This record gives sequence, structure tokens and C-alpha cells, in this order.
Amino acid sequence: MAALLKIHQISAGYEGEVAIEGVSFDIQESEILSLIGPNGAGKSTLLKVLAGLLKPYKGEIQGGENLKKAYVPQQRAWDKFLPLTVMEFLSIQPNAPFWPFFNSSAVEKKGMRALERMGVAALRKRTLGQLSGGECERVMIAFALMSEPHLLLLDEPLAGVDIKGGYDFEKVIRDLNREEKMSVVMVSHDLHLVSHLSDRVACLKRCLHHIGTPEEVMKGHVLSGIYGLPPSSVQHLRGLESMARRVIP
Amino acid sequence: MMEILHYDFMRYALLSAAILGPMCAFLGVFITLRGMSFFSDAISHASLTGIAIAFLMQDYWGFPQDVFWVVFIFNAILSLVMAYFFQRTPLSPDTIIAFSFTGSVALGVMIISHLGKYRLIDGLLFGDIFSNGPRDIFYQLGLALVVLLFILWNMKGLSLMILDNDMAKSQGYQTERLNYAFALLIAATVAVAIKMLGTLLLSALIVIPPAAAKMIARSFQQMLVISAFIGLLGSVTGVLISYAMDTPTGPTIVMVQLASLLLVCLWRRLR
Repeated sequence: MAALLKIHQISAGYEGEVAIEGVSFDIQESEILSLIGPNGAGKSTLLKVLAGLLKPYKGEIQGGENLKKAYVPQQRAWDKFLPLTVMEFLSIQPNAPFWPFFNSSAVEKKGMRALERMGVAALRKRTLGQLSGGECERVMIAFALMSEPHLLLLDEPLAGVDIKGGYDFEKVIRDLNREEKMSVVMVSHDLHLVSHLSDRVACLKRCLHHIGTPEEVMKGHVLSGIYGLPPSSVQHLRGLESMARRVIP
Repeated sequence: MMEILHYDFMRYALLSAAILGPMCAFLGVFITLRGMSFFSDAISHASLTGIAIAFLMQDYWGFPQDVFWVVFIFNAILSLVMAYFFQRTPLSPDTIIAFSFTGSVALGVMIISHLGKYRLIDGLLFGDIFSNGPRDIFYQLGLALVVLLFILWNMKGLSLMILDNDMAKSQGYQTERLNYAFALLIAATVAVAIKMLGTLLLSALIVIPPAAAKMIARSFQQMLVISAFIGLLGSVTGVLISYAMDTPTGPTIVMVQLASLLLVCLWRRLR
């Protein structure tokens, strides 16, 4: 596999504070890479740097010149009563025609395809506030797919999503990865999801501590070290080792 | 009723209401959904200082005759300073707004008091739509055109920014530039519309129609259209009722807008 992006010695943060320091790794073509680490480890900061939303203080990213990236943020802090329908939301594309603003038939067709791909075509007339956590996540990914990205950047996709939503999400991401050869970088606290969905896992705590396959990284002693857990937790975390790479059918 | 159209002041007042009502309501959809109602309210209150500075200039230098440009420049500087503070400091927006506008209003009242023009305060606070002349209508029409073109041209970026600034940025929209331009647009709108409702009541025109529209709209496009319609209907009806019942026009317009909001609430409950 060739490297899609080469991240070299990146340091970044907010308002002069350093959140990540000297981070280097490659993102391979059509791989699913998960970023894990404790709260405040700099995972979302790194994702924002990859999305081009945050300029790093130091370091460089090579290979992103013609790469189409789509970023799906973590927080959905919008107004629950905002009357923006799913289809209107999908129509907000920079390359969509100027007129009509929301109901261009070409964009609607593409939007329907993206919704069908995500299995949520029936939601097209609902407003965003009416969606459940899982539905919302899939609509957000449908929105991201409208720009036909090579790299999908997901920040905490399963926050507030129930077990069924999580299962559906996993299947969708795996399909996109296998069928469209789309690379995915995902920040997650859900170590079970990470252990069996990812091709590689990167452990971050201000610096990059470990990167490797889930079997290599999801080890009790590695995780308890990264998360600052007591030695007694190692036994509990071993459950994750056995889950690593247990792929859903 | 038709005889009211014989009076110039009445024709200008109705025309002004028909331009500013829907324009403020249309812009108000983006202001309210982006959580900037308090921002526009602050700019509107702080306009008092812009007017006071214009009076001060008139007193000392004898110009400008028209206070509009001074108010606009003052509002624009204040909006940009506030927008800069929002984006570049850890202070919360409501804190920034609170100290900016209380400081501005305090300065404005001090200047007006120094000039001994306290008697003008009434008109400044509550508006005087009947003092509109052809020049005001010209400014209002020009601004309405700018607002409409700006919103239409940036519709997609502004709509996405309602949801998430980072998402809009990742889609290639120049969010920081759009934020500054939007703040300037609010400054210009307030400077032009202040004559209609005054510094104290203007936000009613920006906030109430979108609030009413939001209660019944089933899509974003519906919200835009319904808001502009309520803005138009409320403002024109307010002017007519004020004339017929000899009530102060600014407050009457606000009461009509509020009545429309209550009616919409009632209709929503019965639906």
C-alpha cells in the first residue's frame, strides 16, 4: 500500500498552547486508522490538522495536494428545532449550482444516492433535529460522501449512538473502505469498535506513543500505560486483545 | 383609508416599512440561527453612541448633516472589534457583547448629556419612521439590495456555518472572512433601520419574524419566506395601526410583530 499522506513532526494546538508534539506517521491508501488516547491527548487536534482546519506550529504534511478530504465533526451542538431538512443539508455543496439553492435536481439525485448508500433515504424530508444519534451520524457521512472524498476524517462518530447504530455504522464504514477504497481516519473512545474495525491503531497522548495493528496496540499493558490506569486493570483490558480483528460478517 | 397615501410622510413611512421589515426579517433568520441576536441587539443599542458622535461633530465642525455614515462607521468598527474578540480571545461572546455595548451606551449618553440634547433621546430610543425622506428611502433600498445579494451569494456557506463552523471551513468556505462580512452587514442594517424603530426596539424586527417562522416552517426555505412575509406584514400593519389609532409607531410595530408571534404559537398548538 502506498502512503496517502505523510505526517512529519507535527506540533499543533490552540492559542499558543501545545496539544500535540512531534507526531509523525503515514496514512496508507484505503486503510482504516483509529486514533485513541485519553481525554485531552490531542486526537481531535490532530484530526483538525489533517482536515486543514488547524495550522500546525511545526512540521509538515506531504501528499495532500490533490487529496479530497471530508471532515465530520464531533459535536452536534446545533439547535434541535432548526428547520433544515436532510435534503437541504445535503444540497449545501460548494460545487453545487448557484441556483436553485437547495433543490437542484442534479444535487438531489446525488444526495439520494448518498442517503441510499447510508441506508437512510427515508429520512430525506426530516429535519436534522428530528434524527436520532445513529441516523444523524449516517446523514453526516452521506453529506461527507457528496464531495467524493478519498479520505474520510471522523471525530468520535459513535458518541451518543446506541449498539444498533454502532453496528450499522461499522458496516457502512467497512463497505466504504472495501468498495470505494476510501481511507478513514477516526477518533474514538470506543475501544471495542476500534479493535475490530481498524487496520491500524495510533495511540496518542500529546506524542504518538504506539502505532500498529490492533493486535499489536490493543494490549492491556499498552492501554493501561496510555490511559494511566492501575496495574489491576490490565486483566480487564485483555478482553479487548481477544476482540481485535474479530470482523463482523 | 386611502387618504393616508396623500401625505408624503405617510408614503415614505409605508415604503420604509415595506423595505426594512422583510429585509431585517430575512437577515434575522441567519442572525438568530447563528445565535447572534444579542450581537445585533448590542450593535443597535450602541448606535446611540454613533449618533452622539455625529451630533458632537455637527456641533464642533458643522458637518455631517446626515448622521448615517457616522453611525455606520461607528457600528462597523464596533462589530469588527467584537468579531475579532469572538474569534481570537477565550472570552465568551455574551461577556464581550455585554462590556462592548454597555460601554458604548454609557459613552453615548455622556456625549448627548454634554451637548444638552437629552430631548432627542426619545426619537433615538424608539425611532421616528415619519421623519423618513427620499434620501432615507434611497439608502434603505440600496442596503436591501446589498443584503439580498450578499445572503443569496453566500447562502450555502452561511447555512453550513449555522450548523458547524469547522464543517463549513473544511468544505472550503472562508468562514473567518464571512464572519467579518456578516458583522459588517449587521452594522449597516442597524445604521439604516435605526430610524424606523430606534436603538431600543430595532432587534424586535430582526428577532421576532424568524422566531415566528421557525415555529411553523417545515424546511429552511419555508423559514426564509415566512420570516420575510411576517416582517413585511408586521411592519406595514404597524404603521397603519399607529396612524389610525394615533399610537407611537415604533412600539406599535413591535406589538404587531409580537401579536403575530403569539398567533403563530396558537396556530401551532391547534394544528
